[in-house]
Amino acid sequence: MCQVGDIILVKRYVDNGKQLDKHSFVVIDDEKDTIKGLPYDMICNVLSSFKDANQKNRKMAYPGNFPIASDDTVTNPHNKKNGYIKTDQLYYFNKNTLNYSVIGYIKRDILDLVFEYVEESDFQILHITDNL
Amino acid sequence: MSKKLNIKKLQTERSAGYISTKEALKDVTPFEWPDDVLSGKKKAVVTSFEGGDKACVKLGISYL
Repeated sequence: MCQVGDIILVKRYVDNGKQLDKHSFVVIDDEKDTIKGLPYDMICNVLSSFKDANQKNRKMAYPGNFPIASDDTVTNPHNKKNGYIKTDQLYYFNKNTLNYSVIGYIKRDILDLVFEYVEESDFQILHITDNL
Repeated sequence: MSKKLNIKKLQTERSAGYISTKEALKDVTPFEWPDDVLSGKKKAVVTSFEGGDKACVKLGISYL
């Protein structure tokens, strides 16, 4: 089981009809509800690492991407890289049908900053329900 | 006390691709039904249907 703030590794998921493999996500909500009539019990954001300085500059030009320092997270294994959370894309999942494992967590004070940033911003949010 | 994200607000006020009902209906012209239909003397019957791409369809209507 997982809870808000956990970092999970999703083994397979769907995004815009495309099947994607192995990516890390941060759990931002774990309450049961429905969207467009479809039940879910977990919402996550993609957590990615920066590959290099150019990619970092490109990614940070998007207001929806929130920077995460390597020591903001505790995971095993840990790649020791800085990265970002795509806060403008919400992935809706069901825990019992999703193939995932919990690999760590984001520090709670950092997650609170992420939530504050999202609530005080005005960028549009994409709701991805392909996995329901 | 840990913060909690207001998901409902993100779903209703910040959704990409979603618009409010007020915005969606701003250019809509109400259908002008004949008085006989409104009073129940006649029935409106759909006699033909063209299209079906969800965005727009053309209906043939007779009043019987």
